[in-house]
Amino acid sequence: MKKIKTFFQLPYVCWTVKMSYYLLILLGLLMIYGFKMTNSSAFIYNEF
Amino acid sequence: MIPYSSFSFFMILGILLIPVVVLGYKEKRSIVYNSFVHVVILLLAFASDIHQLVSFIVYIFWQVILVHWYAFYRKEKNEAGVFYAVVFLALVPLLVTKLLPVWSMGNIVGFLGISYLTFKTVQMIIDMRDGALKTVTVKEQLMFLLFSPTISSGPIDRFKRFQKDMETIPTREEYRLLLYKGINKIFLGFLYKFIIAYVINDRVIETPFIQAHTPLSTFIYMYAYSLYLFFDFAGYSAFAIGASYIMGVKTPENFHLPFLSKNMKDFWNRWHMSLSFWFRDYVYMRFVFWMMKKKWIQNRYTVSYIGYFLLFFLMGVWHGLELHYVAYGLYHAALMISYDYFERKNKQWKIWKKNKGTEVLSVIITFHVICFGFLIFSGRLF
Repeated sequence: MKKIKTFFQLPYVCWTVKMSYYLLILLGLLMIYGFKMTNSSAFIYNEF
Repeated sequence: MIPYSSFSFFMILGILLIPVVVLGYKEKRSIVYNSFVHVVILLLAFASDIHQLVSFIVYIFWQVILVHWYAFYRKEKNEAGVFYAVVFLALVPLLVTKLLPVWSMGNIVGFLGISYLTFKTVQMIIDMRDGALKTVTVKEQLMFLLFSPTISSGPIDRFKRFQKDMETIPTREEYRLLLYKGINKIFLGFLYKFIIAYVINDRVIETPFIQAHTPLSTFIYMYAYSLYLFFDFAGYSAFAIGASYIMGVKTPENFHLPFLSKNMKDFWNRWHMSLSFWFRDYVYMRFVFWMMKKKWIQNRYTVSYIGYFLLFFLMGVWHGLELHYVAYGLYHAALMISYDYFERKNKQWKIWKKNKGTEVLSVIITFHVICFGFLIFSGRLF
């Protein structure tokens, strides 16, 4: 467990994990919305 | 253009923030350029509707005059009647905005974010009454009210905390961390709002089965809507906090894993925190203090329960005067009072012992109770 923790604290591992997280989110956005500059619905709490 | 609701908004925001980031790395801040960013974002938010723009400008003038008149008055006098009158006058635009739809009249007074600006102004007036805020310049008030990242739906910052951030220019290392956290928050917002909330709404809530209003569909809707509401609002909050961080302002958090709450008190320390803390400090605490001072009711628990009732009733009514919002507020008041009573009695009876098992059970029970509250809130029941 300690070894895994130490591994994930390595700067290049942190950087790779973070970049993969960002890329996955961008990929998710691309899959749902494509390249269209879509105007999504407003936020629920904008009404209040 | 509603802030954070479209990708084009993010592109404009990204371009506008480039000089802010460059200056941040140089340990500098340009008030002139930051003001330009705020003006552009405010114009994007209000310029498409001239009624909103006019209402917004008139509202800002109104609140600046009120706060500065009260600051001037407070230097010499401290009459309770004048304080209540000024608070009421600060609330008038919001009250009119909430009442016009009830009277089936067009909302010509309201604009995006009016509630949050009102919370900020009332907070300043109360702090002046308490002596916690002595002086404020027009520039300081405008910078606080018109801080564009949080203009549409909060989080509701506190004037003194905000002022401290404005007076402190982060070091290069501090700004690097703020920028990193800000970008993280914005990506979290994309994940919450544009992916998870979108999928829940599109693939569950909007399906014909869920829209059919059968007992089973309502049961599933209760959980789907609760998650949708969280990811929608937590997504917005992440965008607002992220943009604030990039501008060097540590806007307070709005959410902290609310569905893992162990009880109702814990829930209100994790859900829409900036609003619940505002109501706690400026409604509940003041009411309890006032009642204790007047000694009209001797039992402090009764005073506290009336305070909870007042807090949640007002919070419900703030959402709207529709029956489901009032019921939502009263439901949470009843839960909070019941939980407080149970917690007190449990200290004597010891029927609910603290261990890992009861903690997990508490989280599960609280989650379902909260979701039922959101079902009321959604307006699907009545």
